[in-house]
Amino acid sequence: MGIPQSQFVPWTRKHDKPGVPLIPAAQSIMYPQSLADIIQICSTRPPGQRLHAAGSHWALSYAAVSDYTFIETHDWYNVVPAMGRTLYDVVPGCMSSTFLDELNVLTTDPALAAIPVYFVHFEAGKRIYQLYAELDVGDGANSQSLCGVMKSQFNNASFKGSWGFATLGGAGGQTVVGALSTGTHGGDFDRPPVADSVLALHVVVDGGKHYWIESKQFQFTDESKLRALYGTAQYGGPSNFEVIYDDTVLRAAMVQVGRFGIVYSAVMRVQRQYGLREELLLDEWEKVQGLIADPNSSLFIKPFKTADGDKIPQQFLQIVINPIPSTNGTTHICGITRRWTVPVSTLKSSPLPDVNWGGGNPAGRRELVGNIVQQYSPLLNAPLFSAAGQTVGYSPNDDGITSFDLFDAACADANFMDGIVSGIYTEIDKFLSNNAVAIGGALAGAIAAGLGPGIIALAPWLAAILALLALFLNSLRNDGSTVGQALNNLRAALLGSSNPEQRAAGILVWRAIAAEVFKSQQKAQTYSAISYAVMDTHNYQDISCDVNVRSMEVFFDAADPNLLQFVNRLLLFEIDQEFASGYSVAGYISLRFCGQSNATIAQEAFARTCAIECSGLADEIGSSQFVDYAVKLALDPNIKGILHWGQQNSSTQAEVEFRFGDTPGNPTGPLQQWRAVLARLTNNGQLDGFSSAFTRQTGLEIVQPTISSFTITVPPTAASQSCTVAWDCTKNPPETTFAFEVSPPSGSASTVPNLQASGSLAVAMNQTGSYTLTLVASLDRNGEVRKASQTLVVAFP
Amino acid sequence: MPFTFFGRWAPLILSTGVTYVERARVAGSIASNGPITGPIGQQLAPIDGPAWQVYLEYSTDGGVTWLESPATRDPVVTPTDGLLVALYAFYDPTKKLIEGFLVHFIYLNPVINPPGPKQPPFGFTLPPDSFRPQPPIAPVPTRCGCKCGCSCRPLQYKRAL
Repeated sequence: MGIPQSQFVPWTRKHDKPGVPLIPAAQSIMYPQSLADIIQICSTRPPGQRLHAAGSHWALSYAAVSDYTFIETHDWYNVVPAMGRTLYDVVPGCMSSTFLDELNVLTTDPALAAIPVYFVHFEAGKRIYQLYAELDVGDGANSQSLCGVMKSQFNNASFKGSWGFATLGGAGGQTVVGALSTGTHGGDFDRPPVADSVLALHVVVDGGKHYWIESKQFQFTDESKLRALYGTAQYGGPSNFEVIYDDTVLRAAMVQVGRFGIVYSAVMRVQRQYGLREELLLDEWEKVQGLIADPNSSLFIKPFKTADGDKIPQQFLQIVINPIPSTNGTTHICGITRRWTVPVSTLKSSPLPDVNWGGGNPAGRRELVGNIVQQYSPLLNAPLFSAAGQTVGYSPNDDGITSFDLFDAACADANFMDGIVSGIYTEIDKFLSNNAVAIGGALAGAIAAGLGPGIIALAPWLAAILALLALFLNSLRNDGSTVGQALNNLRAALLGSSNPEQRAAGILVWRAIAAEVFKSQQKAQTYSAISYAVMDTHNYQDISCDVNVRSMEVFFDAADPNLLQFVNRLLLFEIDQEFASGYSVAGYISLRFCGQSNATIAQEAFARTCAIECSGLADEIGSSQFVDYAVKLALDPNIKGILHWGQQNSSTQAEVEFRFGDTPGNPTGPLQQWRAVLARLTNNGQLDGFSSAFTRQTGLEIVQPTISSFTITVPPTAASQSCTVAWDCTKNPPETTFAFEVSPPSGSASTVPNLQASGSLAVAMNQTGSYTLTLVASLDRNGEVRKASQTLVVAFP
Repeated sequence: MPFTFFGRWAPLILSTGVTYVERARVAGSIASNGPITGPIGQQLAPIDGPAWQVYLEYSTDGGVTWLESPATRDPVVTPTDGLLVALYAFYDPTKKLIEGFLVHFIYLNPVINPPGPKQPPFGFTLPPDSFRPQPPIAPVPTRCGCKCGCSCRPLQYKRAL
């Protein structure tokens, strides 16, 4: 059976505007079902038809956009089966006996007190929520699994039970491989991002050759077993498969933005399932910003004391800022979220019935994973769970009951704003009657105490705004606007006037409403649940909030003062756009912290990395301006933020080199290491099938040409008055140009331009003495030209 | 260690120090290399260049020889100037006092640091006595309206990001 494919159909991303696909008619979309399919796609690629892998379509950048053919590992429309298998042929099938012995000793010798770890090998199309659900079930019932092998070979039952990701981003809808390939992270500042849990990757490159890339430091496989498994004819034979045990190569391949090739599968290290306690408190950005640089400040070291008196250290920090100001533009409300690891045994039970796979009933399990509906879903190539990727975010009340909460309701439609706007209407009405505001009210939050009449001067305009709000409420109750559209209608009504006083009155009311909307999303709350229920906060029933989104994320050293001023300049931009143009963002600024990644070009480049995400609903005018400005600000060399590969990212090659090294003047640094691995896997760029507009824009390409050989094949003689030289420069990107320079013993040099990548040339010689023959390979990337040259000196008799 | 700036910035000297003879010296700019001179408190002519450096230096021999000052770079955002960078020397963390040269550089890139409104934004203020306590709120009935023990609970809200 052939590989499923489609042509000239729309290709879009999750966060794009519905009905407006990013690519209206993609040239080709292919849906491989196996490793053999991927090898076939890569080995039969017609010239000029480049490839690129697409996973969940969650990336907001152009990282997953192909020049020609999209290779889907998980069909966006869920029609073609996903490459979502959990694999057992390497873990445990190819694990070395030495490794298995050590694993057994580590888990049975109490003196070693080893932290329990487990290993999972899966195909690239598996989504995060699918994997955390499967890990939670565990694979003790499968005799082929590592757990089964450890039981049968060693009578070691330590690997039974539930496992979990050490960390995650804020959502589980991405494919695991997509998330790690772009450096996705969470807010666990005591550990690196999820990419660092990868121990091996199976990558198919342009031309169809496939590589098993595994950590040397943590080697767990037996090379002969891998060769026996993957070096077979169905995968192109022994010469088409290479095993690389090299941490430098693995670190480069962890975050490679699809440029190396298609990741077929990955092996990750996971840990015992655990619970998380989460606490969310409201504060003010202006009060907490000064604490960020200090890792010992109260932001990072608040311990959680258990019922037994044990102190558990804080591991997670997120600060979400409302970009629309309060207190006369001098403060910004923020929500501060902290987390602590707690044992699953201490979690409350879910009020829902037990899951049907016998895993017990800790809070969040039934709500986020649920029952096994199908042991094997042909569409997923994996078990189907009733709740994984199906529900709203977990949000329990004191009794553990999670509900379709306010924000989830907001994302179903915009009617949640009715109560908020109605409340503000009442507050304005009261203010107009007594020139006073209620402490703690929304209006009071937008105002500062001061001398003079202040907003009393705006009374006539506030009265006019009452009518506007009434009209808005009437409209809201009768149309089906998305949140973004409703907010934009309200913004236009409040901020759209060209009269400065009326706009000022509108801004006051807009700020009061924005604060209430923000507080409704970031309300103080404390709860504990199973790890994934706390980490995966995505609302999978969202049809309104998470569409037509603009978002960027920038990374700083948490101690870098530019971090704070990036945020503060962005907040000033919002104030200015409200007054100057009547625009405003409907979104947030979120700061999350994580440890340094080992991945060569990961954005998490600092021991304490702070990631600042700026997002807005594009339906509201002002959101795109806000996010676009944030990108420009981040890229400014004086600010020097590092943009997320998977979010809005307009970095140029020079900007990437400024941050990751390998500039023309100083070809060293992480990017040079990454490009060296790319060179190894692609014949120094000769195999350019996975190059894309995005990788060329950002310089994730080979930039340095090479000359493989340059020799004299026929030496000169007095009779022939010539010599012949030959060269081989085929291992270069197709854009490389070649020239040959001849410098005679006297007189001017001559140049032969536009040579082929390989060939030979007869050089005429009519002067006695030494000729200097130079071959020059040149590569122009975004105006940056790098050259390689070799010189031969030939004596003419 | 010099501090590198990219693009066009306007210096504003706020203090020349109290203990030593001090200066800020520019190198690598298009046309402004040398000590920054000008009246204190006044925005000076812009300095431009793809990448240029500022050295904060002090002299103990009346300006014959110059030594590198212990200096700090501190970016700041203000409502009037937007993004600026403060460079200062001889900061005493115990006294929390800058005892040396202090110069601000205001970023003049209109894309990154667009000028704010010409007039200050409207001040949303009220006299302190206009803020009054909330009136007492009557107890909220349970959603199902029952007077006895009821399983209905108010909706819980959460962070959603």
